[in-house]
Amino acid sequence: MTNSKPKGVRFPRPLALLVWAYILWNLLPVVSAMAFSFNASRSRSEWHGFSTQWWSGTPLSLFDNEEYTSALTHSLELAAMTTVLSTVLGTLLALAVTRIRGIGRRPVNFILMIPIVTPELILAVGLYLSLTFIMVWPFSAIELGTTAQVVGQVTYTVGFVVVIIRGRIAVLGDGLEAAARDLGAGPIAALVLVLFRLLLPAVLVGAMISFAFSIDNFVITQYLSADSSTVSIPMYLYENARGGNATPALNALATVLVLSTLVVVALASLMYRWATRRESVESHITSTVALSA
Amino acid sequence: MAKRLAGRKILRLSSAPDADAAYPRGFWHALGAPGVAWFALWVLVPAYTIVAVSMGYVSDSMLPVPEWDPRYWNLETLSAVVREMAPGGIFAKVLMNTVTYVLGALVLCVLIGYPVAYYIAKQAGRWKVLLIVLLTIPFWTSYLMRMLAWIGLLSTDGYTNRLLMSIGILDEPYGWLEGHSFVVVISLAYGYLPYFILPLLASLDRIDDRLIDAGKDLGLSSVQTFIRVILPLSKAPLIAASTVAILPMCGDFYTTNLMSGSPATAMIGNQIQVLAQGGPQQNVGASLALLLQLALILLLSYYLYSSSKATKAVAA
Amino acid sequence: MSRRGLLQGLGLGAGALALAACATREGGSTTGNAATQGPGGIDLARPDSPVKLPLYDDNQAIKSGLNPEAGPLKVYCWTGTVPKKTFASFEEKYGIEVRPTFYGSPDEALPKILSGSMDFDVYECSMEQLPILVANKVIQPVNSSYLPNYEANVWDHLQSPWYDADASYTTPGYYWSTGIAWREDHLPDFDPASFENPYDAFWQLDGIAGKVQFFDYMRDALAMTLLRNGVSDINTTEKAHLDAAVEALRELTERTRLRLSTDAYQTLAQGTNWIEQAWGADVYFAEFYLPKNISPEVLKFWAPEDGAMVTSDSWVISRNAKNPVAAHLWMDHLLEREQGVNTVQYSGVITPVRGMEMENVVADGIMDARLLTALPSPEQIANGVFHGPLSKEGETAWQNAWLAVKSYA
Repeated sequence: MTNSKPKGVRFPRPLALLVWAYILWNLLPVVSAMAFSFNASRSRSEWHGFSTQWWSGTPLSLFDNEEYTSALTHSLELAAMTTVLSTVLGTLLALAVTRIRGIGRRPVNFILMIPIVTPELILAVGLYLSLTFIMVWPFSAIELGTTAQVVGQVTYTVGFVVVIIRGRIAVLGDGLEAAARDLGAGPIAALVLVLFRLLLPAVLVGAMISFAFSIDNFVITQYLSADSSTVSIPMYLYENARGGNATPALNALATVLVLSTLVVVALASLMYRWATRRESVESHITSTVALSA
Repeated sequence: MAKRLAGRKILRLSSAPDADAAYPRGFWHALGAPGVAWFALWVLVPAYTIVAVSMGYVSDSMLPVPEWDPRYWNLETLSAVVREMAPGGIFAKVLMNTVTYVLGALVLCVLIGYPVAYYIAKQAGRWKVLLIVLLTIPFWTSYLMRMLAWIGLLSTDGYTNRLLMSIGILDEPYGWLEGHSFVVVISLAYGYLPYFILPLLASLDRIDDRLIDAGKDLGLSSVQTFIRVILPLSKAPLIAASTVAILPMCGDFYTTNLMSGSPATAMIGNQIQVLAQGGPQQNVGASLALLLQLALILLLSYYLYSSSKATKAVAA
Repeated sequence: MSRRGLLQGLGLGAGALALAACATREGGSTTGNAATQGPGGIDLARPDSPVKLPLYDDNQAIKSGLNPEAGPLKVYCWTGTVPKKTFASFEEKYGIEVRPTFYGSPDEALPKILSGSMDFDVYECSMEQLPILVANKVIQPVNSSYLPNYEANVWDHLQSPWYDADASYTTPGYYWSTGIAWREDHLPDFDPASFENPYDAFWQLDGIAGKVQFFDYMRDALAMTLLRNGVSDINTTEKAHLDAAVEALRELTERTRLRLSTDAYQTLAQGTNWIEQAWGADVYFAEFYLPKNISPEVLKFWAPEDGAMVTSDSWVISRNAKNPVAAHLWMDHLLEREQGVNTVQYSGVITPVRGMEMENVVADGIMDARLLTALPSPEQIANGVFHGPLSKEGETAWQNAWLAVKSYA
């Protein structure tokens, strides 16, 4: 649909082969790991035929074993709370940073970037130490476990939500909001009516990104967990990948994780496309990529 | 209210068009306040706590005690940790591993990622959108799932060994997951390539095709155009993409734990992860985290400096 | 060899730092004999020198004759130790809901407890942590009037255990031995008895590279290495001993690409490891994870009769427990033989109550005779070596040694 004519310097065919090889190298192992969740035997490395016994119906299967279901529900719980909080905070922050003039703009921009450019491990260590050593509210009020994990995940994701929504505000400009005011709406009504309605797709995309980041998050979630009731899916995968309850049910769990992220992200990009359907195809691709990066 | 707004309108005319003027004073600051407070609480305070624990001491009851007051900061743990990074020190091997693994993985990222990104950005033609979608799938696939998939394939009775044995490269199963540095390096590259490729692709896509055409019009061959036009234009995107990949790799501990598990392949992240969790050496763990963060800040500053220089060069 | 000098440097650094900080902020703090005393000036307990843990006026046991609280009782214990049957039978007997929280290792649990970020009533505590918990007053003494099963059922020599003379803070937990586990199908010729020092087998056997594992637990891994080096005191803090242990593990890593992990039973069952440091209970667990076509007979375990590494733990009550009476009832409940039977069948560890001696366990058909070697015998427990608490300097030396092992320094 775009760029029907190759541009730039022509390279021989092997380059195309490399690209496809890279893509297969990335996709095949994951597909095969998903396939092994349907293995008829206990092995996760040798195929013995098709069965759904690791998904449900047997005591060790994904939907019948308490360890798996508790990891599943905990991950979803965390993702739900993180999504709501980081979307709300991120939207407000994005509106603020694009409008604040003069004092405050630079520091706010700077602080927003910190979690994006810091290795997760350091964020996690910092949060863990401050929650265990500081005896002053709100640090003292937050126990390790679900609340701490949500705090950590939100801190990690908000920056990305802001980047997405801010990008959208920049594209929209001030014009529409001003038009709404000229039609008689009060300033705050104009903001709510026009800006929020136009921003809504970006906000939803931000929400889905938070959801995806939350459900895939491992380092922060692990560091701030309290015990086995606050084990999330990625934590469970990590603890058992090299052994553990190393049945194909583990692959089933991983499959759920991957599919839930991909479905949510696919919805997000469809929505983004729909929201920006009147904009150029070029900006389309850049935004898809920007969304990912 | 109307009066105030009217007053502001005049102001707006005199200054740049300013949509904010219609809003009560401090409105935007108020909107941003919860977020800023959140970041102050959960980013700045934790960063300070790392410093305080690193500069603290261990009580007689073997509890680490942070030192909140900079007047009493003691740099001894931090300097001991730095000393231990010198050759022969406790952290020498770990530091060496971290640097070589990250650099090795980065080289792989460039060797694999650059051609792939370049092809998709400039030559994929009608396949472009499909390829971009296929590239984003691994990006959104849980990192641990991607490692898990390889653990299955690389296990002793896995399909990698079977394939290599059936085509005669191996005589007996190879223990891929038994503490080999090269497996860790490849795994790191594999893990972080999606994070490397996508930003690279985005910026290569923005390279103006007219520049390339101009090169050709001036009679340069394909190879010459690539070397004299495309490669220089790719430098900044490559540095940016490398930064995106290096940052998380430096804090990685799970890849080497999963793909090896041997102390011989430990990285700095492994030590931070274990030590910072508690015990009388928590201040050592905090010091390591602090040093890593400082090193990355240096790296990032260099990146920002070089990219701003590049922007200026383009503008000029 | 400059490595060793620096190893010391880090330790001294931490010590000096503490002194400096105390001097500047608190006007100096003095302690007794640093080498034989642990946290809070508590003497270091050893099997041959029992220690009476100090009682404090501001931290007293609960009064006798109180009614149990409504619960839920929060039990903080090792994952996979306490059987579900035991939780269920307690709930049924007392009508108090139990809410268990599991830790992956006591090392992971301790900082959470000390920081106060963990809300629990009763905790399964490892021996070396006891003085730290007592000195920091995070646990409370027990009131023995709530613990009739202690006197009635517990083995005689534990009526006043060495780690807690008069049992003023603890009730006994579980016993297990640490030794060598191997797969006979992969190592058919291996026989520990053929070695003068069987622990040396890890360093001697050929063709095991990539198939060897030690525990990722500081005390277990270094203690076995000390025993391999001929040091029988596994609580030694002598620098030469610890340095030699670090060097030996470095050599082992070089030779075999040693893996450090805590999943001994899984790796043994999968055959990814052929020989490893393991607990007896791991061999028992491994059976459940063994592929169907492999006979459990191939799982072997060895620990010496004399001087075996035996680990035991105990139950303690949080000073901030919301259900202290129910916590006592829980501890008493675990000291019934029926719970001992449930536990050994569930997790392969021994509860030290009468009738749970190894030969009884096998004779009564509670466990398969094949697992005889995996359970600690009364002789092994009587003549075993135990992890004990360390002084602050000792702990620092151990931590530095372990850090050097994990960093392959």
